[in-house]
Amino acid sequence: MICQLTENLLPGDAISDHVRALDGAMRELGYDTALCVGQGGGTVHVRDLPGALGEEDLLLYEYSIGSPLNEWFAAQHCKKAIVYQNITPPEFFEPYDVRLADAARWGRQQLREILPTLSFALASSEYSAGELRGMGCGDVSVLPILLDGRRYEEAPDENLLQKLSDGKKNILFVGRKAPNKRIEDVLLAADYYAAATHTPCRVVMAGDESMTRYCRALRELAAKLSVELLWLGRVPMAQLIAAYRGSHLFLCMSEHEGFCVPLLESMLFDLPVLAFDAAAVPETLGGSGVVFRSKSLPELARVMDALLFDEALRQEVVASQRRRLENFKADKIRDTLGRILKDHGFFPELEKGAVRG
Amino acid sequence: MDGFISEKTEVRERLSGHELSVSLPDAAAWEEKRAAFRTERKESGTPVTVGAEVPVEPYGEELGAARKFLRRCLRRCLRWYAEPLIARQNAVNRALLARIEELEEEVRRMKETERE
Repeated sequence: MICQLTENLLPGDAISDHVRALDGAMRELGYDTALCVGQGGGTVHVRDLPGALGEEDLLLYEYSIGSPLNEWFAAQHCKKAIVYQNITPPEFFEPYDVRLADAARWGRQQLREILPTLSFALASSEYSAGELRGMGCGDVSVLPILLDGRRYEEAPDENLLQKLSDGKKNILFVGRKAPNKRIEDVLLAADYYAAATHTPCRVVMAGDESMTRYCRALRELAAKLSVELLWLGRVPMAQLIAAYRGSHLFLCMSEHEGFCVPLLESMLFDLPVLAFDAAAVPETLGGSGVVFRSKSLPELARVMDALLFDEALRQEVVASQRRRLENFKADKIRDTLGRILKDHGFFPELEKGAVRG
Repeated sequence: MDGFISEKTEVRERLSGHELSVSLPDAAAWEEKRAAFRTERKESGTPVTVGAEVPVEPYGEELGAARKFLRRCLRRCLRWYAEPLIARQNAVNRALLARIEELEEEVRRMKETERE
């Protein structure tokens, strides 16, 4: 059996979706799976896990920030692996949320203690894999985030779509409102562009807003700017789809990403991506979209204008994104996962007998 | 536009050939706002903490220096006991501050919904 362990499962959360999708993929591959949620829930309760896992079983842990669950995981004697999506450097959080900064720092400390106890590790990008190797983990494989495409087939929210279809150019950013995402730079770039070119623009922001101090700072900044802001929180799927469909450009100014799921979502909705060259962002884009190395506002304004109004350019960018998206198809990632598991001696139920024989 | 990367030559050519009909203004005002945003947060975001290093006030002319010295010694000796308590109190303060801010945000959101 392969049991996935995660701190929590939230609706509309990219990592939670990934955990569910991995569980589905492993079942499709023929593995007997279980899901255990640290804060309660799943198919197995955390207190029953040690007894439920045998010598040939694997405990696969979705590693995130510092937590007592990390210590519990480190103390288990079964075969273990982690799925690492990276931890945001605490310096980003420090000015806004000291607790989160502490948790991020603690998460990195605990990771160093956990790594020697693992059979292997999975990282969502080569960027994150490199980080694990740098900490001394010798056996790291890259497994990109598994996006369940069926979830995006839902009908878009008509009200939001209508609101976004008023002729203004909608510049979208999707993601948790956190300082590493540099959302203030999205606002400033859009404001500069709108002021310089007199293009009617709107910044659309969707994503978790639990970092209240950062959110308040963003609102204060937005009030000083003239560009229109449509502030959406953690939205239901229909609204997220409407936001992607009704937007004209995805602008990512983030300075730290372990993978960046919204880039994939933009590819899925044929939305041109303009993204800052940081952490795993260029790797996820893999040459598609447009990546920039300097946050020079005049330079950005020129490129934003080209991507918003040059139809042939938009088509070229979208075509490159569609090609890139092929690499993240569910069956490809499922096959990669199957190969990694077999390479480490974990075989589907039906094949176990054949391997032993 | 050397700072822009794309796999497609066509994209790079189109990007470098794209001209705006307007001349772009100086971005200094926006850069200042960016700098202010980051600096302001760093100052106001630092939580107020308490520590064991409270200044020891003198107690008058006579015996003042001796009392001051004794108090300082006592504090040094008790630091192993006081520091963890203070750290916990600081954590509670921070948690309370964060919770108050969350509640404020919740109230603001409710007011906005009411207005709509």
